[in-house]
Amino acid sequence: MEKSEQLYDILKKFDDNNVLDKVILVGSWCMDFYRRDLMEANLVPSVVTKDVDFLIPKPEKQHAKIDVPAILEEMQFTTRHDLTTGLMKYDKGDFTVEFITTTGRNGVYPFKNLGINAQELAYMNIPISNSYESKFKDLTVKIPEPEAFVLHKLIVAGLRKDEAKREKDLAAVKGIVQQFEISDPKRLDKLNELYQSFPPKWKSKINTHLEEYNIEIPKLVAATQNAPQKRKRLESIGYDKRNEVETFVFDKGTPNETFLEKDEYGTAAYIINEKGKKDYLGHEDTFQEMIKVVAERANKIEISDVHELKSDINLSL
Amino acid sequence: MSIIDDVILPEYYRLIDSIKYLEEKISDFPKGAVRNKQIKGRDYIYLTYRDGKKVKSRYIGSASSKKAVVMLSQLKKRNRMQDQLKELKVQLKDCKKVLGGKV
Repeated sequence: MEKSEQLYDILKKFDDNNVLDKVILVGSWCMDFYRRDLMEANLVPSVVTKDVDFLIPKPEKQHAKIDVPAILEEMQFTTRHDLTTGLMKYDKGDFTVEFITTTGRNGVYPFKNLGINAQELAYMNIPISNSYESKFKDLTVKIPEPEAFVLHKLIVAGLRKDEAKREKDLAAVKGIVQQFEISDPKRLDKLNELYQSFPPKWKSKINTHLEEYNIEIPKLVAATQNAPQKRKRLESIGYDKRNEVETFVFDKGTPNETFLEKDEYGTAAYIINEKGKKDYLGHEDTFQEMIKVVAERANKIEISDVHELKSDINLSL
Repeated sequence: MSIIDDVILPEYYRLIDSIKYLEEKISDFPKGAVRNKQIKGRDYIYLTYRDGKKVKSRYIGSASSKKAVVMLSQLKKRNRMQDQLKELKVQLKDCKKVLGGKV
């Protein structure tokens, strides 16, 4: 039997017993759904595991009484108890079903109404808050938004003890991001939006792992948590008719004079050198990204200032 | 069907598809590197690329022109895709090793 057919059988049984709407399918099985749901998905890896992970939101009270182990046993799954952790897993051949939930005190959380124990893991709120309903034949399955999947994997990359699993996660991250860039760049904006909504510590973890594992996410405006609070002073805004660009001059007449040129294709930046000539810094697709580059190079503009700049100069970023 | 056939083989075929897909996408983008020339205080962008054994240079425009911005953005995308392509080829090689003579 095909792997995905085996998964379908489990999902169908869960659906028939009102379990499916209570869980979010997480882990590498999501790839199977992304490969169907994304505009193009040639770069999204295929499933290379037979572990099926279901995420169950807390609290326990919200779930009606359903005997989940009995449903699985009916499908010839056998229950495996881990005596050291108290965690239960369900095996059938090389298929393993596991339940996970949001972080807690004990590492394992009993969902008494469902008759199961779920492993408590950090950062599982990300897929809970950012999931969507995907179709699988006649079933509706909740899975994390691909943007949430990417950021979640980047945060937890450092927690993965199994190097092979970490590499697999990161390969999936790279594939999805590359696919977004090629076929659906709007998703990169969505990814950036989600990233911006995260607490500084999460952003910092993502930044560290992006650097450590040499992953580049275009359009991601990295937070510079510990950057100095100084900011550049916007001196003038103009319009260069000849080149059809908006111009922004910062710290005019100082050694840090910076010059940005913005048009519908992106923004170019220059730093005025000691001889009064423009040193080309580069260009980015968006004004926001360019601000980031200038901030990194000139070490002056805080990323958070982008929003201030926006209100200062009434510029739509 | 063994677990290797079941898991690695589909990944092997997916990698072949992905590599083909990426190679096609990459060919839509300009190849080469940009060179910045400063003439009378203004910056001008040139695209330097290899054509057979010859290295050629093509004028793109002033550094702030639309053409230059688009060119730089496309080269950046191409570079990212090429990095990804390299990684996929390494993964394919690993898959082949695991599959032995089966493919």
